[in-house]
Amino acid sequence: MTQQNHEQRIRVSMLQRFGFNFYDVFIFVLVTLFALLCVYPMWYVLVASVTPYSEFVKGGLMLVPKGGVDFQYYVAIFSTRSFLNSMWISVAKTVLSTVSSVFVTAAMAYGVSKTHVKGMKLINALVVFNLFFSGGLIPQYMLYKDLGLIRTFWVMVLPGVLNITYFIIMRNYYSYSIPKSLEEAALLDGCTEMGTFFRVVTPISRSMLAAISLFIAVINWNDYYSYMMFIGNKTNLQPFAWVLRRMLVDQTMMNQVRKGAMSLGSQPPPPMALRMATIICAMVPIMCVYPFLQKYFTAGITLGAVKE
Amino acid sequence: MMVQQARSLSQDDLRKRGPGFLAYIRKYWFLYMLVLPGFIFMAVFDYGPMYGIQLAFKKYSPKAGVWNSQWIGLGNFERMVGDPNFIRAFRNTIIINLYNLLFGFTFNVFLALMLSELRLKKYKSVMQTCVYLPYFLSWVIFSGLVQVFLESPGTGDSGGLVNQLIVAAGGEPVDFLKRPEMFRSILVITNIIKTSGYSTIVYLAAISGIDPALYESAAIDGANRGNAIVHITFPRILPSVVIMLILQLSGLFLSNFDQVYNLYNNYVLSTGDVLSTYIYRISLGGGGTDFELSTAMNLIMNVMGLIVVGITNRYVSKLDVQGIF
Amino acid sequence: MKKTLLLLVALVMALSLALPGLTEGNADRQKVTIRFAQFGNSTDDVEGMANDPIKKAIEEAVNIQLEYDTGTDGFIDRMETELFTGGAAELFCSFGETDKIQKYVQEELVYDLAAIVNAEPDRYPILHKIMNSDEYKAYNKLYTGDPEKAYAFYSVFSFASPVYGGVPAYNKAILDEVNGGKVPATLDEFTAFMKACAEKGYVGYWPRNSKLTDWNYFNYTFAVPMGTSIMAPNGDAWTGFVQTGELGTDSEHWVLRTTGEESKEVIKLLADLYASGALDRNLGIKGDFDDAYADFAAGKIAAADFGFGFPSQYADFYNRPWKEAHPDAKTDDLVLGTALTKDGKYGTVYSLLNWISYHYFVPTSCSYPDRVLDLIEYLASAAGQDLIHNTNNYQYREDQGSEFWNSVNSAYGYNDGRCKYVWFCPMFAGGEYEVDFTNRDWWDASTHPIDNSRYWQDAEYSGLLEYAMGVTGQFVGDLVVDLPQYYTLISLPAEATDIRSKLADITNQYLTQMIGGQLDIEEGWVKYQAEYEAAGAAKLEQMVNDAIAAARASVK
Repeated sequence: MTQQNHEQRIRVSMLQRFGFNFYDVFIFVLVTLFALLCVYPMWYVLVASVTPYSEFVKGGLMLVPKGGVDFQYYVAIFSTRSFLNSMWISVAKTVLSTVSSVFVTAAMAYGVSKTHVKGMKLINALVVFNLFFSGGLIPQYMLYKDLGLIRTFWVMVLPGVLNITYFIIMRNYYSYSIPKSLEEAALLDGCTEMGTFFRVVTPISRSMLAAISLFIAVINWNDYYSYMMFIGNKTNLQPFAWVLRRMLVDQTMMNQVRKGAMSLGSQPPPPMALRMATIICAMVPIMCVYPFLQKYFTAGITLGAVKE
Repeated sequence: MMVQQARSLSQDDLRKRGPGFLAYIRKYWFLYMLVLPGFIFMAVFDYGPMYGIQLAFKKYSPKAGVWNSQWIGLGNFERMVGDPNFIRAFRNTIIINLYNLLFGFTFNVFLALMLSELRLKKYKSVMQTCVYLPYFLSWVIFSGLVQVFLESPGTGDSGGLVNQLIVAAGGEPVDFLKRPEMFRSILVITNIIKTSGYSTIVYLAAISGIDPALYESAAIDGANRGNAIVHITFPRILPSVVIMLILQLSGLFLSNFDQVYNLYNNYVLSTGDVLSTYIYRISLGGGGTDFELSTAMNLIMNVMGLIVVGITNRYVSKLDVQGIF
Repeated sequence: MKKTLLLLVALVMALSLALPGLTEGNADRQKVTIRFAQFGNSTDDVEGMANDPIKKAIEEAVNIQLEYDTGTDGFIDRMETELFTGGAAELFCSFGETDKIQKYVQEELVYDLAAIVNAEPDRYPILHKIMNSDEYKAYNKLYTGDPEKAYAFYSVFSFASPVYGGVPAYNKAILDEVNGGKVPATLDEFTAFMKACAEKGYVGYWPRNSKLTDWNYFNYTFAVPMGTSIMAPNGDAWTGFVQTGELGTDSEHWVLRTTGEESKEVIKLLADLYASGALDRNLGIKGDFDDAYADFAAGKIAAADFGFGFPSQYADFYNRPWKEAHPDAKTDDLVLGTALTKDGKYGTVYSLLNWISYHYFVPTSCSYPDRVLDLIEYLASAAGQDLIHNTNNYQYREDQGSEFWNSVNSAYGYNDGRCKYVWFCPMFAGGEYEVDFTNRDWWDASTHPIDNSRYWQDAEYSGLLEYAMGVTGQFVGDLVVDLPQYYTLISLPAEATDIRSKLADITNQYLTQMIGGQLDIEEGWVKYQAEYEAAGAAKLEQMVNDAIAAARASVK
């Protein structure tokens, strides 16, 4: 509390000393422009997706919806059966992958962060080595084939359970961001390693775990690669990200949605408008978790990345 | 203290072996248990596929399987070197990564400094919210956006917004996505928009760790804010900058499959085809089933990447930052 | 006790030998799952698929569980990847290139179907008849060198009516506005029309192009009248070649014209059209069926290719993009064009009347090939053909109309009123017609498929068909040269496949850039020719001529 006051005082004094000048305006404008560049496209697409097509083709900046708000494209998309099915697949895949991935990766990262224990350094090197050296696409395919994973749901979950990037971040977090004194005190108090992990370490790393869970969840939600490479085509296993990609590039999918819209009694919607509505549909879940993600940014992630 | 005890214990154990070893395991059984599941996943899914690397030196026969296919030495690598498409993809990969380093990386640092210089705290956090956001959208969505904006006008429609603006300003519309000379710029710029905000997090954290008193005393000494950035802020984020630089350098031979695959088309293969997309096309992606060549390419990329990482990691360990190993 | 048991077993065995028909029905056989992979359907509708009565009927008749698999881009390669890694569908389609099949055989990846069929002729009466016909054996010999071994089930493609793929459908309103309603008949008229369209704010012509990877329609429309071919030598053995001798004689000789001077003129013309906006500026980005068709229907494109040239595709084109967008449309809103002439002459297109299209394989990773053959046998029989083609003993049944079939087929992406099943049809005839293997021999039945489509079409649709056939019929005879049947027996060496795919890559790359104006044509053409030579174009030309000569000799 007092430190904050102190900081505020200094900031105020800096403001007085340096003054609010051209320099500030310059930075203000630059940052604002870049931020607009990041956000405006999504706004544009959102507005365009609810604008009647006759208005949309006239072009323009799409700052506000003109000619009324029209949800017909969303109706068309959600009346396509594979959309809902793929949502379920994606939810199942995301939940399973995230839970298992965070458990396995965090546990391993904690163990490996105890470098004084024999073998941990070697294991660490083995894990990190994989960041730079992999068998490659075809060897992966053949292994999954031998394991009987090809064309199954599990090929979208199991290979990614140990997430090497977040392993490194978590390991650094456990090594540097948990006060050593805390753990040592717990051990001296007669707490076992297990007790220390569950009663001391895990509670204080909660925000890091929450942040990383969300990051991993987003990765899994956006993943279509595992389906494209190792399943190829199996209707009831399509994840949403794949359906989305097909909506954007594959005309058979687009035609199916357009036909569906016709059977609802409306004109077949123009592909570009449908694409925009699809983009918005795909962004919604991310937008829902985004505020939580952001809250943990500085708290969780960065502490692990750089030594203090 | 406890740690030191443990360390000396372990040395004793090493000397004694036998029952001591078991005691050691018993002492740390919980940590080993924690590591075990991850270890199994690593062994199966990360090291498991590595037996397949032998394909790079073999002629694959489905009947014989990977193990019993015939060795052909460096034949696949000879084919690889003789393949102009491989050379092209290789060159493109490196050029695109260098561009990303030159423009993307510097912009990240620049953006972090800009953000940290914003005075109004509330406004700063709004700006951060905005610039982090694109990172969480998939490349599929992002490439959809790119197409919506850069589409060239057809007859009877006004094209993407960018071309509408160009035309409104009296210029000639541009076929952005079909011009090979523009494609790399599009990759670099979209990459900046998508990832820059997120990349600043590390730097902003370092900046927030700087003692405000330093600025104050500098101000008393008569430094202006430009001086303060150069002499106070920048030196203090330098370790973070270096480690990020090294991380990025280590990916010199890797390419962003997701980005390129979603953005490229036949027009821009000459400048836009990268190794990962090429490997995909010749093995699983509709351009043939050349398993051996694709594995050989992957192997070469990995080896070269490892060499770069090995060299750079030596510099990291000299710095006061946590290396990746 | 033991003796009684033995006796019983012997009795059962004796019975089963004596009365094969009684004991060996599909119902008594092991129930298995068969994944069937066919090109180009949609499998997105889980619920529709689960309720498909035809699928259920097939499953019941053969006592199997069917799983449908499909794809478009990269489908054939996925099939091969799965085959090479031991996880192929139990029955899948692919294209049959000789060297490819020989590799499959050498690696023991696919079953010799004839061996299984011939071991139990009573179980597979129709397949037994098919696989022992002379024509079938001739193809066996072509593909693997051994007439007795059938490693695939072949699907024959036959045309039921004259076809030419290079004719666009015009939007009559634009044709009236720009050209006074006159259909361009010469290449010069057509290009002038395209440019006039561009000036009025329309795109002149949309050739089907699969994002600039399919040059067939550019070729048909522009290169054929100019007496050349801009196609890369990929696809048919003679694609990209021009005949200089006399077909069917020793003087026949094919010359590769893809990088010739005439082709350069074609590309110059196309680049000029592209630069002036007469060709769509978004070529290569827009898809054919969704984007371009929608633009055509919206009145932005004056003329567009409607398909491979089938009359039914013209009717579909009218119904799908056009009538969808214009509910009160009339059939004369569209005008079907004609093949273009240059200096008063049509060009020449070489074509076969019938050829082998898809091959259907059973992989050795499948442990019950006999059950898969049960499925093929059933579908090839009168009962199976009746089921999937809506007939009773090959007579069209009126009681099950478009409504029924639309509800079945819409699960797979088709609801165009066709009264036949969209799966398995291409397996027996490339044109998806019904085939009567019961009363005819294999080749006879395959080349005389039964076209039921006239029964299910309404007057408007039939009118469109007749119109399309009429227009096409006027010029197709002057334009299309039927190749002698031995052209189906051409077998190119393995090396040719490599060269051909390299050349196709080069062509895609150069034509795209030259037409788009990113590469100067004069300058680029020299490089284009040099890359062709370096990739083995001359060698390929020799191989093609040798292979054709060998095929010609084999029938003599």
